[in-house]
Amino acid sequence: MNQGHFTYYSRQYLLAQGFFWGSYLLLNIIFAVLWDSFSGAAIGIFVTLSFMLLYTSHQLRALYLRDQPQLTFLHTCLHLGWLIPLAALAIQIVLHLLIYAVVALAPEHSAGIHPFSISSFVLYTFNTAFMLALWSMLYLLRSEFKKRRETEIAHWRDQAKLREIELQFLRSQINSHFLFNSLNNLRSLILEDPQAARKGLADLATLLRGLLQAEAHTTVPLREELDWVRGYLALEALQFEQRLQYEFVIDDSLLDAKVPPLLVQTLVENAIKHGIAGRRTGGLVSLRAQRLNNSEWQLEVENPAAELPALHQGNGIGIANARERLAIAFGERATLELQLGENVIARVCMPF
Amino acid sequence: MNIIIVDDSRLARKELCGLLAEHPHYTIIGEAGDVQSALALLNELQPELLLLDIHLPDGSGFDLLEQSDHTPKVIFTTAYEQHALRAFEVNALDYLLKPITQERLTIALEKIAPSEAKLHVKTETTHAPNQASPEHVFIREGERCHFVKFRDISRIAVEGNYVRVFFHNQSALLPRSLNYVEARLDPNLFFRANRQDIINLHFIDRLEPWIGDGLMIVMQDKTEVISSRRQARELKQRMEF
Repeated sequence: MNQGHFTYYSRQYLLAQGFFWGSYLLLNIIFAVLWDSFSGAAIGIFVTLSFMLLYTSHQLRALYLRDQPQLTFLHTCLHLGWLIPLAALAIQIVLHLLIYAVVALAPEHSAGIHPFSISSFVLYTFNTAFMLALWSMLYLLRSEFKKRRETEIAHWRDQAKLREIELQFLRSQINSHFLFNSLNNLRSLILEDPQAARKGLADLATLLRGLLQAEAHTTVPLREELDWVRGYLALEALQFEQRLQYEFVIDDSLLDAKVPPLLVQTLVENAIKHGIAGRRTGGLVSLRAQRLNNSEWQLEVENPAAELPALHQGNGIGIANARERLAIAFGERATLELQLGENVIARVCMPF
Repeated sequence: MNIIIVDDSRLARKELCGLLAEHPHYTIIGEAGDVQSALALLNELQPELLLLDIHLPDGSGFDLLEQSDHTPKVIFTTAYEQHALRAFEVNALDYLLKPITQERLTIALEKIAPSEAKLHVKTETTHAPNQASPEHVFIREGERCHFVKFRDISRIAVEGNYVRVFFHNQSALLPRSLNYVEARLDPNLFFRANRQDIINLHFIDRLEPWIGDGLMIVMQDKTEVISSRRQARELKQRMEF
């Protein structure tokens, strides 16, 4: 297994370790002072004990990190059931051996050290085991919590990604449908009216350039957007012929106003897809742009509703997508609303 | 072979006419741009082949097939809705992607009527049906669509106001009355056993006498259909013949 994984300490982990065993050391000293058994030797023992516990808990963590992928939470707890008492016993044996060595080799430093008794040894071992258990509990809870939160975050990230892919897929479906119908119509038009076919191809080129460039900008001048829309409408007119009429009522002073690229195109596409295409007699698509006040202007796309609206109902993806692009470009200062009825109006308010 | 083209784009229809001009055995007898007019045309002209777009102003190509009394052979033409055709069983039908190439069209036509070319090469005496009698029925049930050949239908039974059609070990609901269906079936192949059932004579396993001079017809799938005395007599006569 990869070594770096075990030797990795986060700053947070180091601080927590320092704090936990530091507090333990401090508490031991405070109790020693309270019980009047405070001495240099006692401090030495406490410090040694704290460092041994720090080392042991660190090794427990290493074990946990190593086995965690294979073990369930319950299994880990069961393992700790024998690991902790064993570790506590080992710590106390080493500690007592150390004390014995100090007493034997440097009796001048052994003031205040009680002689060895089995009952105090058992008590100290329990105390150590308890501390290790407490530490493990805190550590495990913390790591389980983190793991769950990470899973949840990953889940939501996947969901968002999926939605985005779905959106893009649906968008591309719509455009592809239009694209291949246009190519088919142009192919037929080449024989019928070569001049009109040449113009249609130029319109298609303009529109494709717009589609390819749209990704690169958050806004484009209305003038440019309207060129794409005109090209788009001319191509749709090949498909619908006399069924599709359209008019532009544009305040010329707005031609330099900024719009998200393909926003108007999306609205016009919706008007055709969910309106004109669903009417045997077709109808009129009106595109209007007017000034509202000094800081805002309004763009409207109006079309007659489909004969059977239920059949030509959209899934709202186009509108949701348009709203998103508006929000990216203008934040909350832009709005898009849809007015349903015999005539459907899509109305966008945007700041200058 | 007589063809009707249904597509809401005039240019697309014209394109298809141009492509079909290369196939002298195929005659375009009608064109339509929406479901309503296509329906009238289909029932009146009864073509053998239908070139059908999926998106139409007042419905889909599937709606047209479902509503039509006459179900010709169908080739779907589509710009990009292949996914809509996933509803069909594999190889149940052919579709062409627009723009359509002459090669692809030729292959699809060959698949639809492999005998057509040979038929004309052979001799004029071969009796080519001038008025096509449809060989199959279009059934849509939920998301699933089927073209079911009449000879593959084993039994048709009343279910509520509609009928359930049994074929290939499966069944589907058809929103028609039993009388409507009976009028369109080949009387040499199908038999009205009682008020509830029409059976395909080829799918009968055996006949057993039943009370009151009736008959119990056991089908190959072990379904038992009881026939009354009058119907039983007719069936016996036909089976003897």
